[in-house]
Amino acid sequence: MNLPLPPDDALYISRAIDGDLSPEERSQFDARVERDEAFRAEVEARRRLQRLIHRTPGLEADAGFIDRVMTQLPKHERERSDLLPFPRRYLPVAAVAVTAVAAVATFMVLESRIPLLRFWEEQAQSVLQVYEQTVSQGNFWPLLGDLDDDRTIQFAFTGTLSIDEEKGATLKVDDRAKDGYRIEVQRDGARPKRDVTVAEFMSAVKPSASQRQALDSVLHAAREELQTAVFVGANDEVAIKSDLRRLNRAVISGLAAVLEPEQRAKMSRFMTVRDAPYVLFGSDAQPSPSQEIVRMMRAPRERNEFVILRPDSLLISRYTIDPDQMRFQAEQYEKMAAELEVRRARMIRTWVDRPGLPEVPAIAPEAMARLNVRSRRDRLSIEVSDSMNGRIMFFNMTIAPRVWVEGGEPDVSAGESEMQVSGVGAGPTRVVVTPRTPIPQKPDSMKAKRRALPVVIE
Amino acid sequence: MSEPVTERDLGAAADDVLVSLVQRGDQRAFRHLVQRHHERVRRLLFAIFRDEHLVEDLAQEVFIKAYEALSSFRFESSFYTWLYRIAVNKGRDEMRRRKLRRFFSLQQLDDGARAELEARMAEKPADIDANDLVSLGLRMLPDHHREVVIMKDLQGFSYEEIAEILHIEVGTVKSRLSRARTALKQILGPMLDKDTA
Repeated sequence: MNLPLPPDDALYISRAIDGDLSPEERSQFDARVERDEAFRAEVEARRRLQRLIHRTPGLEADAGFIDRVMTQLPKHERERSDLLPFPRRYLPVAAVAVTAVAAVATFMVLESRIPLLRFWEEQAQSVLQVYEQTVSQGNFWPLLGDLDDDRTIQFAFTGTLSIDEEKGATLKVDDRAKDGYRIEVQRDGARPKRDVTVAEFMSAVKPSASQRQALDSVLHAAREELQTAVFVGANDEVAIKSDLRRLNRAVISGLAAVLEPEQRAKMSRFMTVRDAPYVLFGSDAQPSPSQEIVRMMRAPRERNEFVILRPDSLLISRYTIDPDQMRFQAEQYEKMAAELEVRRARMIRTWVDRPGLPEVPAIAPEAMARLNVRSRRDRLSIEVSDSMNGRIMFFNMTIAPRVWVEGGEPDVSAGESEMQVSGVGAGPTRVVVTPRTPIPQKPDSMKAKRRALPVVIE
Repeated sequence: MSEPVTERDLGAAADDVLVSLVQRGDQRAFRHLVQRHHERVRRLLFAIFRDEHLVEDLAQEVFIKAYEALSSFRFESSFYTWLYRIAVNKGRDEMRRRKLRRFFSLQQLDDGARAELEARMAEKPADIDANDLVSLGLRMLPDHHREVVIMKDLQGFSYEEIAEILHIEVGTVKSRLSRARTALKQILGPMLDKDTA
């Protein structure tokens, strides 16, 4: 019986066939071929494979190809010139004029900042290069390709997801900040106090058969969304969907929307006991059809934008990526499970197991959120500040972050805890967060020093 | 004033010189670049798709895209690795477009190739065309594995050239090639037991 060859041996033989071994390695290789019958048989089989590949016929020469290409060029030239807003003969004049104006303006305004600008230009180019040659070409792997429903619900309820059990690495979305949220990839990250499983959740809310089916649909949709949210590139670049935090709340509200009001109260207790960082409001709303819930979960993708990070520059930028392409990559997970393992380990090593780097502001190609990256020992932290405040409303229910008042928490202070929310529900909704008042729902279950702030909808 | 560049000069000029001339508007120089590289580009695409008509279209698109992009070529890599990168990307785009257009998942495509391969393997040994089987085996590899096998074993690129074309490390090329060959050997296992020398 032929057992699979260890990866190191396979690489060794592959390099030997290509003539890539050093003289010393070559003599060791020959000696092993001499004494190890199984190894010799493997080498022979691989040489036969090489001969077969080499014998594959190529393509006949095509004498007319060059002429056909050359006749296409004038046509393309014309098409390109049609795009110009003035006759093509003025192109050199226009180019010179624009260049001259730009050069003078640049010199005058930026004379003392040339090194900095050059740095930004190079960095912007490097990120663009990643986008063009890695992300847009499909050379990236879904980091969360192997999710199941338990891990999906765990992420929704706790904002934390284990991405490498062995190394204890976690992905965490923390949106307790007033004006944004933070995504962290962390080694030895704090795990949730209690794991959340689908079975536990079902046991808590006791759904009917039809509700169970609808809840499964919501979880399935959530899993698909999460699988297309974080990708690792061929050279350890990381692409993270910029509105990843929306997903958690969409899942929680989607699950809640399936349930009857009394079941929702149980769900709320379930969340409190598990220390979920969210509070559920609007529990009296009637259940919604599951198709509608799934449609709503997928619909509000205001931005299919990804934050792309390059290891060597630690610079980040936002680019739009085709959702079909994302889905296509995620669908291939089965085929690239082994490759993904390698990528995942390398990504953690690259991003998390290295000395801290100073904070680097981001280049955003459009006027969008402020992005900051901090790479400390054991942790990569991406802070996203955007106009989408802390509340999202689905199905007449509101999911709000539980805002903690705790020593050392940098996110919110009493003086900063007023939020303005607009664009949700029927009209603008003003939300007032009053600090240091016990939350009306299950305050006893809170730690004394970690008191949640109530959210009042006017 | 410099002398006009003759066809003979162009024929003897290095790729970089031709690229500079194209950037100054000399289409004749581009003709020489096409002449030098079109066979290899066509063979690369043919190894991926095994469809002469499609290869004809794609190869033309590769050269037209190269022509359009040459003005921004900065000589940071050699022209031919830059050109083959365009060809590889064109191949990937086409593969992706076909899969999406047909609403086939990759698994379904692979299942089709696997079924065809198994049917061919079951034929009488005398009827088996080893070349067809290798082509089917290559089709069953993931794109990034198929590319390195084609570039190394069919096109004869060096590790360094492949790394430059694909924008990956040389070590990644070696390990990817090793994994691709292992996968191909598993796919074509029964054939390799026969004497194919």
